[in-house]
Amino acid sequence: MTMKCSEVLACISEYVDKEVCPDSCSAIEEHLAKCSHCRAQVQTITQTVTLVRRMKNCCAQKDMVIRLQRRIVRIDRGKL
Amino acid sequence: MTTLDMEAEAALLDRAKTGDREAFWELAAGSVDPIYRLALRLMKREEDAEDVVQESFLKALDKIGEFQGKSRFNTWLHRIAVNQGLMKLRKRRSDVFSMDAPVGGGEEGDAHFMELADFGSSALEDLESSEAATVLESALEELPIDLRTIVVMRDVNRMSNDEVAQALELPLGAVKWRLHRARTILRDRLGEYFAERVCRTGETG
Ligand SMILES: [Zn+2]
Repeated sequence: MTMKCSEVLACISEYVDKEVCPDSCSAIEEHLAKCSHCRAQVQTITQTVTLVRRMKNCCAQKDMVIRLQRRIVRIDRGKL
Repeated sequence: MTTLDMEAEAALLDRAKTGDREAFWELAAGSVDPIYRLALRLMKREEDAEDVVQESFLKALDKIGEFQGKSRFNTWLHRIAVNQGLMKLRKRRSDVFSMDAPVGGGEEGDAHFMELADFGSSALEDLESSEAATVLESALEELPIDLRTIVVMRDVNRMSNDEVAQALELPLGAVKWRLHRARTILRDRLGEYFAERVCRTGETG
């Protein structure tokens, strides 16, 4: 059974995340072997996800956590 | 991120529910950075993001007695943070948003049959170039908020599709579809950039 391009494209994200079941996975790979269009889709989505995952991520400042903890202490005192 | 296993989390949760602040922090500490990242992507302003973080953790502390532990604590915090963020955005009125609204960006990505060049082997190293990073930053910033929320939870905070679905109270299929839409939009923006770069540098593609 062969998959259509539209069917492959519909599950491309899951395929890239390696979350498709083994059966679908081999059907997709069978299609990819023959279809350069879908191959390019898989490749560029894979690259995009990699780039997003490599983005520099901000971290919460220590001060923020300290301010939060102080607020909690104040709330707890208020309850006493 | 969350390295606690389910059992350890359940035990901490029991203690946290009795008012044990140390247990609460053990549960919550790993979520501070992810929640801040999410809040910053939602609010786009540091001071608003901090407010969302503070309000979310205080709300979690207040409501912990009602938390059943059916999802991970981190997932629950994301859920609270999204709600806090949206409430604040509605007040700000600069960004209209509903999780039930039609998926942003229309349907045109559905049959995306234009010929796609791959970004080239240098693309990944290129992200270290601040230019490509800026393109990605602004592409992410311009994503409709429902799609942006999902990308941040999934690809930045590395939550599973199930966790995202729980956090947003969306069917799993809706999360997958929106993630797919979001990645496609980002891909198209990056594709434009890399295609243009190839022209500029005179490489043959
Ligand atoms: Zn195809």
